[in-house]
Amino acid sequence: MAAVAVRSLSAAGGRRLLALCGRRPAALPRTAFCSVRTFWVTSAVRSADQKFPPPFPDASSPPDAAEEPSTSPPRYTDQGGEESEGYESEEQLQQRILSAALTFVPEYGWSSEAIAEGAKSLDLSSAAAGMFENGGSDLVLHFVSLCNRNLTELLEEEHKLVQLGSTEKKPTAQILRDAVETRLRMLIPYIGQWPQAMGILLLPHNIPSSLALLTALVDDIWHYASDQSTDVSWYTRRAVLAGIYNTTELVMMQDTSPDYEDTWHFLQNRISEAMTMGESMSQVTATGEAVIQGLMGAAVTLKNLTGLNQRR
Amino acid sequence: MMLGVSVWRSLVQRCVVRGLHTGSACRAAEGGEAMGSPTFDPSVLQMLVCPLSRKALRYEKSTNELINYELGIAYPIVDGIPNMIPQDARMIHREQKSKDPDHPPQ
Amino acid sequence: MGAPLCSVSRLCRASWRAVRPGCQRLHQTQPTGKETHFGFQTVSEEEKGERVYQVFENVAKNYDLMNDSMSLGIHRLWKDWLVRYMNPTPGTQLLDVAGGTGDVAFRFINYVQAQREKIRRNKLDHQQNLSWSDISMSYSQEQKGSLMGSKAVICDINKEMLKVGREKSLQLGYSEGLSWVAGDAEELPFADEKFDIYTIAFGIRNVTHLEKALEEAYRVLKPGGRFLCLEFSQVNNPVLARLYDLYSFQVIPVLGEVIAGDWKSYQYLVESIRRFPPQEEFKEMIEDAGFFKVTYHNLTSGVVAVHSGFKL
Repeated sequence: MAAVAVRSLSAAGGRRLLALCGRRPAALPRTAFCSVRTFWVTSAVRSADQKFPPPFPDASSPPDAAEEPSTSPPRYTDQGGEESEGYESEEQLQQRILSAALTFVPEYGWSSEAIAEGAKSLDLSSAAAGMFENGGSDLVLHFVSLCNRNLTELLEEEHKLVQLGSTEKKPTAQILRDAVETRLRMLIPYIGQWPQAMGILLLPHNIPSSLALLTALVDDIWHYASDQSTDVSWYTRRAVLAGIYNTTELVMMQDTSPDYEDTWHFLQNRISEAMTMGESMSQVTATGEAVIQGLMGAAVTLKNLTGLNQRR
Repeated sequence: MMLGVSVWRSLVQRCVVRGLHTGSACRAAEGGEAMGSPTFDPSVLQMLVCPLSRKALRYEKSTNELINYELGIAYPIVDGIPNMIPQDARMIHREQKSKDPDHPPQ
Repeated sequence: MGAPLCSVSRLCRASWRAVRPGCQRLHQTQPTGKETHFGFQTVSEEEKGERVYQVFENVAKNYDLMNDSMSLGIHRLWKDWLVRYMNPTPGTQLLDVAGGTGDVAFRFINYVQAQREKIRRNKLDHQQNLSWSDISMSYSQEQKGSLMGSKAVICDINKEMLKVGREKSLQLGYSEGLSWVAGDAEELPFADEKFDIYTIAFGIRNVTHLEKALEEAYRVLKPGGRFLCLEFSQVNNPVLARLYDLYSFQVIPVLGEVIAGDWKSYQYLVESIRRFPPQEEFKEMIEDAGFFKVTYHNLTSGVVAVHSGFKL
């Protein structure tokens, strides 16, 4: 079973990755405020992650459709944010239902039941959950893109502070580390259900979306952390950070230390390794390989985790 | 083809068996009457309205009808099933209406 | 029957006109002169209602048997599919229109019960260190009602069909969660926004004014509620279509004669199927009634289609 998943995963992933890598880095959507010559932040991420409320069920503010590269969950049809004048578009309502559903994930898992409860909490009929034909998948993908968006906002804020000169710049390694930690901390409210979510993200039909979300996340982090001095290729950086993110996520799933100390320790070590690797990093040949390997490792680990997913 | 034949056969069998079943079902239904199944279940009233005025109805136990006093229409309840089809409804008279203290004639 | 109708309609006309301007129903005795079709014949609208009634009165007792023989038992699979697609959560209020024999309602009840059981088991799995008091609590809660407030109201214009259905429900031992009401799909006797799901399986083509039935469906649904319609539709594969034609016009009436001793009723059933608008056209009609996210699924190459729409 798992083997099949892995195989189709690597097949689908490989194809998708080619497509992704074919895209020029310059085509990234964030070029708008792209002043790569950055002044580094010191510890803004730290304070930022306190600012960040762990669960964000009431992220009910409709997603501003402006900032959505490849991260939007698939199959949400046209009809984007065009409708204004107080009317909520069909898609905005759907997003609102999914956000409301997050509150119910700890109880119902990543499932249509959670979505039904979310709909009810908005005074809608539970039947509205039927709008999401992929049920749990839609919910997980929504959550992941929501987290990514939140992280990007935090990074952007911090970046602005640096530009204004109110905070000091942070070394690249620190930015990377803090960003990954902040992002992973967003999973804490759902930690008991997260192995299930990872399983869902790795379902063959979700691979394209989850890979797109992962690469978007990694690209965003690098965008704010990028250091002109490293001449490591963009592809390599993406692969390395994706790998670090995935493995740390897996460590976190099994971490029982207080406040996930072990996880952050592990993360610190991986980042330092990557930084000291320096030039050798550029020798990573096949770009996609690291990502794929990371994902395959995830699949295998997940298989082992399924028995362990009741932490504590 | 074989499948068709076997389906057909089972259908014919069921047809024969059904004759027996309905008989017993009728008896069961009669027995159930005492248990309250085919009597009217007032909880439906929360949802039911008069299909014409869309106003709430009142259950009249004595006549076993659902009554819209405003329009003076009584919907019969047959075997515990409210019949909400206006064509089958009964018009109730003014006097009866005025007798009801809660619903003075308008 | 004629007399009370006349008097009611005379008395009421003034008052309900006031309530619902433009309402023209209930005067079946006064022909409106409009024509509609009854199978392939053209009849006055008044006549259609009566004749459809007769057909189902004739058919009622043998309805299940005929369905089985006409569809070779496949109608059961279609109805199973409908309920699986509906995926009702515990607590769902279902209105099954034209569901006289209870086929959809029984499946709904079974499904909700299974669903409830699943949720309960999940909960127990997720909290393994429950104390005994917790466990006994969860069991006593269960006794409060295995349906958790789910309810199916079956509404059919045909009293014969309802009788058959209710008899069946007693036979099958359904004791709770079912209510039977005789009512007209074009003039539903239910208050606004009462139901989570409205289903109509193999019934909507017998309704004289389709748009009116759709409007009524919209009215009684809660916001977020879902409209689901299972109906014969158009076979798109030409070869299959030929076979299907042959079967429906040559075989089905014969079956009707043999099993129910009633050729004409079954001929009507077959003809009315052909008169019904094809998938896309019907989809547009549902959209016109105000539903969002209208989709349809063809089953068995389009012999039947399930249309779905949401009230938002």
